Amino acid sequence: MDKIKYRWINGALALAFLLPIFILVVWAFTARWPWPQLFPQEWTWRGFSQLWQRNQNFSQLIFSSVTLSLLVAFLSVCIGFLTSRAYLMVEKRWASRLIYGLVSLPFLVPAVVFGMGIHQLMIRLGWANTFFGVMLAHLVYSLPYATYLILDAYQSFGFRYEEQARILGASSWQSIRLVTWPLLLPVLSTSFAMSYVVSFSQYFLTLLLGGGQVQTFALVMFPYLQNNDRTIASNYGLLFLLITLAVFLIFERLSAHYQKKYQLSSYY
Amino acid sequence: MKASKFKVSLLLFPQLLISIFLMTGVIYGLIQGLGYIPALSMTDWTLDYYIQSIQDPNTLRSILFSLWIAFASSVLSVLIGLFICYLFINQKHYPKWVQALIQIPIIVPHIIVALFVIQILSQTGILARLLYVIGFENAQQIVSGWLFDPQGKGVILAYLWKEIPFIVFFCFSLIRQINGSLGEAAQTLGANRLQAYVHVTLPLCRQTILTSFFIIFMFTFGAYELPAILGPTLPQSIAEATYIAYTHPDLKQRPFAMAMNGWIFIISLGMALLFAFFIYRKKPSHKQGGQDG
Repeated sequence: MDKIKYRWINGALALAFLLPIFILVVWAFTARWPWPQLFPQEWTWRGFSQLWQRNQNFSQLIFSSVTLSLLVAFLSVCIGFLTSRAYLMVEKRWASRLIYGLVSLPFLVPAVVFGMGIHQLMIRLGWANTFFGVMLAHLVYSLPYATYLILDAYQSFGFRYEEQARILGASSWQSIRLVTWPLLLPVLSTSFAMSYVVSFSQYFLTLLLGGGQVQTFALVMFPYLQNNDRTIASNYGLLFLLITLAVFLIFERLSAHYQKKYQLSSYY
Repeated sequence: MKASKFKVSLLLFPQLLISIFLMTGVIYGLIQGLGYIPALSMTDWTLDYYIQSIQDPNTLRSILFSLWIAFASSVLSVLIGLFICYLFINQKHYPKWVQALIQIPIIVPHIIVALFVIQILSQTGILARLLYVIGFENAQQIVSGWLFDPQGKGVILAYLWKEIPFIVFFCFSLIRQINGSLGEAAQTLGANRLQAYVHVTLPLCRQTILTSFFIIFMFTFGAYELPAILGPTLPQSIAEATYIAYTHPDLKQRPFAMAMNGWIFIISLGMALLFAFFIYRKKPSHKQGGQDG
């Protein structure tokens, strides 16, 4: 009895999260869907081909948008790792609280508040409407997600294994490269993915600080949503999800590949 | 591990730079809200912009609207998210594929969630079509109050779709761990499953749950996209109202925008202090704790 009940519950949950995506895919290839038909009346590839027609540098847009978020994610993971190490090293309670506070700061400051102030400053520095400026702003809001994840995992084993390696004669660089790095690799790739997504989804900061000069995928898509052009908007949405998925898959492959190199069994 | 002060500060340096960058942006804006914008030849410090902006009934409505959306979305996300966790831990072999699926919304950005909600709930959306097919002639009127409404129902619904999975993602592993040890112990002592979950497991996970609540609350309070797409024309969310004032062609509006930012910041700080109080408060003792059994 219980089993059947839970089967229904699980099914309903899965449906709730899959159905919207299914509807998005249907809309992406819909040519005509008059009220009150339950199914589209005509199908088309128009929306998909128009993505490239309406936007001459569309491939370049995808490339620069993905590059921006990859850079942000890479920096987030690096900084998150360094900060986590510092957090584990300090012994005073106030010091670790201070570090935690610094990491959490972006959660306390809504992006509008930071964005408009930094926009004024960036105009003076000449960073406004540049790739660099947008990247820095994205980094501020992607970083805490990465650091939280890395810190959480790093805390669970701390420096124990590293110290063991040092006792056995490894240099400090070796002990990080051969012990900590493989141990942290799974969480590093999760936090990379997380900060990538936060940056790739970012709309407001890109709009404000990019000033139309720095275009990202989310930015280009927005007007179609507001104009209610559902076929085009759905194609953007679909492509967005596909690109994210592709980046994730590639990354998972890479991390799996590296992890294999460090598997214990290969040493025996 | 021996840690020299020098080494720690070296490791912290990049994070420190980012934090300084963040605070510089905030302070730069707050100062302009006090009327000090040399570029516009305004050099008199004043609180007028803060006072006038909060006295404007539209600003006040925007703040209340944003607070309402943040409150409703975060409370509902936490409640439903924790209920889903409960459903998961009750199954001896909870299905991995459902857990994998539930992570989908984490990679879907808010603007695409907005598109989902439009495609389902708008007057020509799939829900209205379904209602019509099963015999509701007035299907379009039935769904007409769900989007672009002054209560922000569509906005809240979109946030729920995105944030409930976040709660599960953020809390589930800890909940499962605690429920497996102390929750089980409570059950052997005679509590039923729900009692063990509500009175033992959840209080022990309080800090994690409150943190995730806090992250969602702060984000939804200051977010721009969803209310701009799915919300009503009026009231605007506070982020939208501020952005409109900021990009106004009349540059005299700018200190008002910055002052509104100041209010957003003050409210956020107040919320943060409130949450910090709840999170770091001493755990209630046994005497205060279990009134019912």
